[in-house]
Amino acid sequence: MSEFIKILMIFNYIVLFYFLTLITIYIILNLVSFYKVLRYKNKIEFADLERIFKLKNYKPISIIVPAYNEGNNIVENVKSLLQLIYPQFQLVVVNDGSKDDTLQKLIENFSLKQISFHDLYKIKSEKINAVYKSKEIRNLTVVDKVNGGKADAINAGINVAKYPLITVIDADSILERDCLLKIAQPFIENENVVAVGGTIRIANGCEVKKGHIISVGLSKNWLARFQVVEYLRAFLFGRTGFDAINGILIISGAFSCFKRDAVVEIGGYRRGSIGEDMEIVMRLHKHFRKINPDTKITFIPDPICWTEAPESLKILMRQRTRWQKGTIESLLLHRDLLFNPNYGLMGLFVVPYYLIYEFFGPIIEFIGYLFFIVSLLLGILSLEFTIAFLAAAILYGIVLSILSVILEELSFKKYPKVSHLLTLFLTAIVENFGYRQLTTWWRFKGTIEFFLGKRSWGSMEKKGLSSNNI
Amino acid sequence: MIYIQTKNFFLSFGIIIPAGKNFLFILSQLIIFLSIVSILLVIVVLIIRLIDSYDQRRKNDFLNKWENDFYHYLGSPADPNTLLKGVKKSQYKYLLMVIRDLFSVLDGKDLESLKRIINETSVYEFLLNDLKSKKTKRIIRAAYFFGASGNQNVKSILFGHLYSNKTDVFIFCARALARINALEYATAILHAARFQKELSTDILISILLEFKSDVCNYLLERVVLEDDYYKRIAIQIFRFHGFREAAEIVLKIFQTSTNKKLLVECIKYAGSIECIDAIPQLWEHFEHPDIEVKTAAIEALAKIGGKELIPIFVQRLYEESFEVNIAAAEALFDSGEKGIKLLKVVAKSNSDSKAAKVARMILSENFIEIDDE
Amino acid sequence: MNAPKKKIFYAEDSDSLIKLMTYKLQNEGYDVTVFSTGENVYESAVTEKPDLVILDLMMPIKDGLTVLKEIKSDPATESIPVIMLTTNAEEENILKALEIGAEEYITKPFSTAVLLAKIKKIIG
Repeated sequence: MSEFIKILMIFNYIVLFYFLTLITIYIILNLVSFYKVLRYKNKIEFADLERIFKLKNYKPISIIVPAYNEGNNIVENVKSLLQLIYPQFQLVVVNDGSKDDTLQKLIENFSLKQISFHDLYKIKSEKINAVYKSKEIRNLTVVDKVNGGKADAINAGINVAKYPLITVIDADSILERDCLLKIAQPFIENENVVAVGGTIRIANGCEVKKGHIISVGLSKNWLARFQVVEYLRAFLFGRTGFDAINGILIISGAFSCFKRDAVVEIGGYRRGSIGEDMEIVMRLHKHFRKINPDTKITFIPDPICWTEAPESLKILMRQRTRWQKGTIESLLLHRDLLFNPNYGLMGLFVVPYYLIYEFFGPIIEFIGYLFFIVSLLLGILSLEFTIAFLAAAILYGIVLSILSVILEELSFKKYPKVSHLLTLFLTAIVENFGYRQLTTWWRFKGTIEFFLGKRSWGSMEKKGLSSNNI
Repeated sequence: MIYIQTKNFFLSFGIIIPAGKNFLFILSQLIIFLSIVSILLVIVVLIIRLIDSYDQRRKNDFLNKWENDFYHYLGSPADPNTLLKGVKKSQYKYLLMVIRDLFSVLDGKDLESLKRIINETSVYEFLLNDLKSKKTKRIIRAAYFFGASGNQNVKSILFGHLYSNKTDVFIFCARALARINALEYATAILHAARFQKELSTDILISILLEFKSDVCNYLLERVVLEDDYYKRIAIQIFRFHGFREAAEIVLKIFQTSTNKKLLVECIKYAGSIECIDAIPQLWEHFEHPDIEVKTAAIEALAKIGGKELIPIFVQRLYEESFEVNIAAAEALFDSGEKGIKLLKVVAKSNSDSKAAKVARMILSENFIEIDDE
Repeated sequence: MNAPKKKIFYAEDSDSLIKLMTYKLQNEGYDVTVFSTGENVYESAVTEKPDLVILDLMMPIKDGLTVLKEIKSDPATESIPVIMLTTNAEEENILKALEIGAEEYITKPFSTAVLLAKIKKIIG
């Protein structure tokens, strides 16, 4: 019995240690983010982005939109994408072997004509059946290919993209009209930048009309609200903080921008990958920082893309277990980055962070919850202690969430009403009772499933395209 | 408490864990601390929002009163000082934001009146203080407005900021100098740029493009004396402005340089000003081992045109590099009827060859049927 | 006797320009209706029959060229003169707009005095 208690105690201390280090890291990320976000905001206010229309030295962008069974919205989405503000861009819609009328709708509405084509860069992808162009809208290209999943569809899109920057988005991403002006900026400012990510926000509860956000609001659905707070934290703090040490390991697939030649050089997205958006970023780091240590993958804190979050437990669970699997997969594939001093702080700090808190995190937390209960029942831990510890943990989470709301207030101020703020605070409190544990459980489940080889993405999820990790 | 049991165990690992009672005490302190912090933070957010909405109200009140006078003033020869008579210093920030939004869309007399507000009223002193301050935020704002209004008096202060260790400050002040068209500082900008570690060529060019086209003459005078980096940037500026007077010097650089990036810029320049004298040189670069140089040469020759080049382009369709193929096919397409005809011949020829595929691709991209005759 | 006020539709997504132009146009004695997106411009034109429409090229929901096409392809509204106003000075766009039937094409930055003079020339 005493052996068991010893193990139990050790584990309790591991949890404690885990928690304390996590706090420290978050506090550091927090401070860095405040500085970075506010600096960005000062700059963008007088950046006069539209002047590139006059100065003419912009980098043309190819937007790649993988689409699978998007027949209901695709025409409207394409129309709204064509209204983006940018001097020169091309839209490449990739129909990934849809079973519905996605392709027909596109052909009819934009009077597409099939053209003869040739893969420009020979990145591997499933067979391309045909490439279409519109006579009226010269910057619209549609690729029809055999189904192969999101990564594969993007690769096919890159093969016909002719501009030096590629932006990959989801068919249902709602973009701010000046997003291209903003996302292209880091590439112009720094030649070493190979990829840029942007902030993703939750569109649930916002008034959306024909692919444009008319007014920002909050959903009545609690699940969506929890995700709003989650995204605020993840993007305003996590991403921005890691950016400061060039340690962005993931760029959300809902909106990402790359140098085309860089992606071509590493052979495009990894086909059949579960978390292709994380995998490609890690591969870019690995490949290019070896050649040029100054290579940068960066992130703009500007909210430029809005996405519909799942409002059902089942879909959310599928999303989260999938993210977890994707994270593990990418970490395992690129485990040589771990503690590799050649990759600077990213190798020494960010990858270990992901390993401990993203990979092992859910396991530690989950077993922690279990052991807490067991210790409590066995009387090893006093009730007061348990409650005090949990209370401290929860309060800490709340403080972090509120801090992200403050940063949002100081920078982008997207939520217009005071009632929105109050709802966000309430959400930050409520999420600790149930939602947090639920996500921990899903991530734990994802980890277990990954190792048990229950790779259910095989048939069904392979086709699904919305797999953006945050 | 049971902690004591395991305490030794942990101590042997060198980890000092507080004993149970102490620990509970620390935790409860922490809880109290965190609760207070979170309540304070909520209050902070609400205060920020309150201040903000108050500010917004003040702004609206001010604009409601002021805006019609302002619009009336725009484009009229009236004295801007009369317009600003009742405006308090604390309201300048609202006024400046209105002006900022209009700076990029107005021209002619309207723009003149905007500039006069910045240059001839007490707004000038207000911004001058900003520019002389140490805060990035204030410097950026001041530099923006002085640049947009072409203020000639602040050039030396802007110049002083070029050697700031903050890249943003450099970019905004250099851009302001360029918008003021302070030619005498063009070289200074290029030199100061070298001290900015994270500055790219692209942003530097976008800054220099803000100068009026007479910057070309200025750069031309110096370009021979400076290094490859300077030359490369200067030639790009010449190209953007379509500045033909630099042709002679660029050709000379073209002949002597071995720097690949510089070569590509020379080629692009020759193409865009359609420099006939460059044809023999460009011709030579058809055989250049580097694909980028070769492609640029084809594109440049396509722009200069000339029927005698068509056979050369056709030849390039059969080359190994795909980029070169496409550039050649596009060159053929652009060279008019004869080129298109030849493209069709190639497209029809051997259906599996790469040249035929490229030809078909270019034709169909432009919606030209191959078998229309 | 006063002639009835001429009615002008102005579709534009920049708030500051809307305010400025509304003032300037009203000052000249026109009756102005403002649209902040391209939506409903054509529909309202059918019912209200304005004397002139000013369209920004880049607007959310419906861009200026689409609205222009709608107006010019309906016999009920095709006679309404349209002025295009835009940042995007690409030759291709200008030609397209003029081909569809826009009376004038003005690129930003522009001078309000010039715009007003052109309006006066078209509708008096």
